[in-house]
Amino acid sequence: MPVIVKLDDLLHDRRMTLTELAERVDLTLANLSILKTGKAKAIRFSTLEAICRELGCQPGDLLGYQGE
Amino acid sequence: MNRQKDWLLEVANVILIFAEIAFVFALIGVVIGVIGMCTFAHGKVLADLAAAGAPNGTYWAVIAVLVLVWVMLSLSMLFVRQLRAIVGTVDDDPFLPDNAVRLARLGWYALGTQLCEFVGQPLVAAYGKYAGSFTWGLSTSGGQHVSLAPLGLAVTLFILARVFRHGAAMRADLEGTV
Repeated sequence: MPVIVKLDDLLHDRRMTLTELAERVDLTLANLSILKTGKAKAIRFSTLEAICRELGCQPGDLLGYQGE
Repeated sequence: MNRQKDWLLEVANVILIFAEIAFVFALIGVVIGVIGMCTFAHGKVLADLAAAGAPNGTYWAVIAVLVLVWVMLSLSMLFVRQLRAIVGTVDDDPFLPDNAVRLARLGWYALGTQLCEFVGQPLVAAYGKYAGSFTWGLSTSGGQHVSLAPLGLAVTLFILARVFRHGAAMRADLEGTV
């Protein structure tokens, strides 16, 4: 998929684990892992909002577009 | 899915299993009856019908009604089997396209039952009174009108099948959303 998720990089920069973020945004680790590995088909605005709030970033920092 | 057992579904499943077994026995019984009427009991049936003053063609009308009964029993058995398959999915994930297909099948079976009633009821009304002599006391008078309940059930099931198909498609769209 041309849309890439840069959650791994954001977590690395902030020295935060996926488990910790899952607790903060009230999502299951499984779902967050799906997002991190780029297997998610869609993302809710509420999820995007919670992640941006906890990581102190913009939606554009989390998602990117990579041409085919 | 970690969920408490639904006792209603458990009971329904047991009832459906018994119903399916009962339909199998009934189907076998009707087949034996038709074979008997066409072979060893042929002469006796014809004699009984003649004694009752039955018009020509009564014998074949009775055979036709038995065949229709066999078809209706088969449809009922298939109906029960599909319903049991739907009940079996409730504990796991009932919102599947397969269940929409099963609901549509239930609709077709109900429609088939209605058609059999439309064909069979006039035969029972016309010839039923002559068949009393060899039905061992079973009622053969039949109703004076065809019940439209199976038709109503078929329409309801077709509508539900469409609703279910649409719901399953929406569910599939949401899968993978975080």
